[in-house]
Amino acid sequence: MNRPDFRSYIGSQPAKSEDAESRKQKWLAALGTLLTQVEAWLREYEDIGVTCTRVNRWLAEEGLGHYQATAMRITFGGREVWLEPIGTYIVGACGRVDLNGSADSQQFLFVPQEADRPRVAFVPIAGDRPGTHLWDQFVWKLATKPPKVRYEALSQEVFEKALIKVSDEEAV
Amino acid sequence: MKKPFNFSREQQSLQEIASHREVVERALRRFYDVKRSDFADDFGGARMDNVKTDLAERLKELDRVSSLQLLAAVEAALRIDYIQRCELFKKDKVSKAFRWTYRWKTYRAGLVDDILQTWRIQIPEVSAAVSELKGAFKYRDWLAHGRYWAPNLGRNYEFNSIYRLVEPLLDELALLDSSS
Repeated sequence: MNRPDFRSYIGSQPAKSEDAESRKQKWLAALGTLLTQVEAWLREYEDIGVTCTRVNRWLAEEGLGHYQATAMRITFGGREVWLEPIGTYIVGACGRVDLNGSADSQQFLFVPQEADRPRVAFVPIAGDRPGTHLWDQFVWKLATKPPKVRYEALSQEVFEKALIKVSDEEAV
Repeated sequence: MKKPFNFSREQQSLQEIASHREVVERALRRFYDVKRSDFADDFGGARMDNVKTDLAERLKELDRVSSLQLLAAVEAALRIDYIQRCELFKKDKVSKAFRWTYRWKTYRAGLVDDILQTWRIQIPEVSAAVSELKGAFKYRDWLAHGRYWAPNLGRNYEFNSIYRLVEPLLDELALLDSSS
């Protein structure tokens, strides 16, 4: 009986830790882009007391272990809102960041550019398989809450509306 | 002739569960709102950070309970569809595959091993989404059995992400309901 060539079998397997590391780096880069964009949008309100502060967080995800990611504390008046990184292994998306305030929370998802709502076709987590480079086509979008889930392209206006919604009880 | 299955017709739609969750979340947030006129009656003497933590814990619990409810409704929808396809002798390939299972297991078909597996094999376009749903059902089992073990789920499941998975999937599967 032929003995299976275990060495060549093992050698042919994708290096899981490298894939995971690459996935983590891409997710952290996407997170960084979002935070930089938010800082740029809110800079024009510095004169009326809006502040953005980056804070390190420890996240834990299966396959990635424990790693550091950046959250952001946004303050204005007496209010405090947090942009919290949630993770990259998200159903139907390659990343999620929550905007949490005292009145509500909103979710930003890293999804394909053309996605306007959840679709079965988006469920495969694109971009973490060798040979696919779909991360370039992913963008951050605001996901409205169920039951009517829609993905809205993230713009300064959309972000500011979300900020009001999560921080102002009257706006919910 | 075998009597048809006796459906309760009390199953909830995904939309009903999401709406209920939304109302309860808003009610919770109002209860913990410092501007509420009788806030001090409930929280007099408490530290504000403890009040915030308390709210966060209750929102987390609401999310879990709603997720359990949502996935239970998904199971109901899948099982109703399975029974209807078998009892109504539908001619499509999924129904034909279901009838093989039905011969041996009748209503006791396994949700994951029989029903979801059939969908996965017969409709390859939904295979990835069905695999994700199988993962979500592990989360459901963990919730339903009292959360006493450390789950190994590979995802941070929460209500909104589960909803974003199951709503388009059930639409795509075009399930038969109990009035079909």
